[in-house]
Order: sequence, then C-alpha cells, then structure tokens
Amino acid sequence: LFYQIQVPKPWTPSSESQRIHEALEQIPYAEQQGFESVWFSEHHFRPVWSHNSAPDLTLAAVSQRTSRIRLGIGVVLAPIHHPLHVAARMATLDILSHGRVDVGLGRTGYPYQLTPYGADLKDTRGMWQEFADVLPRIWTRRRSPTTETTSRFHAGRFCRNLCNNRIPRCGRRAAATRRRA
Amino acid sequence: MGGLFSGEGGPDRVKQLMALYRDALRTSQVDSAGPTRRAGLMTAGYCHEDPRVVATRGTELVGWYIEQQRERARLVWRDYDPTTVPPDYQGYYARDQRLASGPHPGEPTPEQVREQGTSFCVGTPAECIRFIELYEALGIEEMILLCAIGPAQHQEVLHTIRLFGDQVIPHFQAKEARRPVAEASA
Repeated sequence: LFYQIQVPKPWTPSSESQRIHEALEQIPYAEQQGFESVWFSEHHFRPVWSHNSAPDLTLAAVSQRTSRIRLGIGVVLAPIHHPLHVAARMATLDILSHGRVDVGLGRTGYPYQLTPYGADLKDTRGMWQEFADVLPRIWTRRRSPTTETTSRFHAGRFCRNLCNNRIPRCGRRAAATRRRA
Repeated sequence: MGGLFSGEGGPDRVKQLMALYRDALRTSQVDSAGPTRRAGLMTAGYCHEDPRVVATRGTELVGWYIEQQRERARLVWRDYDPTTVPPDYQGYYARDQRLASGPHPGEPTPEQVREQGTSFCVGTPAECIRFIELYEALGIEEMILLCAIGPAQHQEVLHTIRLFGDQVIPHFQAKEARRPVAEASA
C-alpha cells in the first residue's frame, strides 16, 4: 500500500483528520488481508494531493495497530532534513515497530518544497548523495563522518547510542538513478 | 538497496528506469545497510468485481489522479525563474511544462488510460492480476498501491483491499508456491 493522504476539496474542518484516521483503519485490515508493506510519502505545501508532512509520526501510530506489515517512508526528502535527526527518528520508529522500517531517500523535484527550508534545487544532488552516504554509516559506525562532508554533518558525536543500534532497511527512489540519465 | 518506480509512465518508462537502476547498483560505491535489492512499483489502485463499476468509478478515479498530476505540474514551477533551472532538473521542467499545458490533442482520455490497463492498477481482480504480471515480467518485485485515491471513499478503499486479499494476493502466492525450488533460490 502507498499513502499520500489525499484530501480532495471541498474541505470540512475534519477532512484531513478523517483521512488520516481512515488510513489507520485501512492498514491493519490490509495486514489481515495479506499485504506485506505500507509506504508513506513525504510532501510539504501540496494540499489536496498530499497531506503527509510527518509520515514517520503516522507510521508510529500504524506500528501500534499492526504486527507484521512493513512500514516504509517513500521517500525522505533528503535536502530538507538533517541526517542525524532522520537517523534517530527512523531508529525510534524501528524500535516501536519491532524492526519493520524501510527508509527511502529522494531529493524532490519540487522547488516549493525546498525554498521554505532554505534548500536550493542546484544543491539537491550533492545533498542527496551525502545523505545516502552518511545515513547508513550513522546506523552502523561508531562515529559520524566528519571530514568528507559538508558543515551540515560536522558534529563528530557518537551516533550509535543515539540510534540504539537499530538499522532500518535503506533504499533510494528511482529518481535518484535519473541523475545518470 | 532498493528502487522505487512509478507506473504512470507505463511499462516502457519503467523498463528504462530499471535499466538505469541496475546500472547504478553495478557502479555504486555506496554500501547499503539493508539486506535487499528489491524493485517496487508505486501506482494508483482500485479494484471492483463488477466491470461496469470499474468503467465508471475506476475512470473517475483515474481522471482525478491524472488531473492532480497536471495541477502539480502547474504549481511546481509557478514562482521559479526558468533561466535558473539547474541542468539536471531541466528534464523535469520540460516535462512539467508540457503536462501543465495539457491535455494535448491525441493524448488518451482517462477512460482510454484505464482501458489500456498499463499505467494504473485499476480493474477487476483479473485485470489487476494482469497489470501486476506485466510489471513482474520487467523485474518488479513489489507492488505498492495507492488505494486511497483522493475521492475514493473509505468503504471503497476497504473493498479494494478485500478483493486483493481474497483474489489477487492468493493468485501470486499460489504462483510462488508453484515455482521450482531452484528458481526460487536463484
């Protein structure tokens, strides 16, 4: 399953809330029916199409209503996040779900999702690449990388305890491969 | 390290992107923390046992989805100076400009898109099975369905999930069980 949390107009005060709570009923049913995974997108500032700006929170709720179905973020928008935050949140979700998390990484093709966070289109390829390099290492190595990355990652802190040794599965959106086109 | 693809461009586009993905896997120096290299396909999904309902409601949902894609294309670059679009985004820019100014003459209608049955997993259980098998043949290993398509009501989404659980998923489970052991472990 894939969820954008789409909320068509006309809206009522409860439209958005209703859609999220419907998803929380649909996903456990899907698990019963044999579905193996549910993925949530991450979108910002795109009403109607996707009210999914905090997918890890929604998946945390899903994790408490299900026991087997895998929980995916498809995809984390790398240029607008700090990888240490993402690593910690995904690791926590992985703990809450008893190891069912899949993490997708993307760079977004939408400028309006970047500008409010101070990111720029021209930087997204490099930021995505850094994120893809760094995130697995945060989960698996004792120290975060300090020399080869930008100032976003300069903190030479211990990350292993931060992430509680959890290693969610990591993937990349196909868009990432388009950089080779 | 997995790849997530979208079905909207149809099987030819997915085939093209999967070739890039496989090439990237071959040449990538990034080691994945994850255990799998699964290729998943995301697309809109709606299933009903009555072909007449598929023809009406399925087409409505496909139409809404396509129009929202067009709306996205209109919004994406609205406040962006086109002269500053980075080289690696110019393909997206051109695609979105064309999409935003559509529909263009000769483009299929939502009804034709649904009838064609290659971009969205919308149909009877048998049609949904055919759709999935089309992409399975390209190497897609996981189907990720957006069943809560904008206007779809909660009960409609549950109905689609039920039909998948009762008919579509068991078809593939039976198929998997019939696969020779050697092939399954390859």
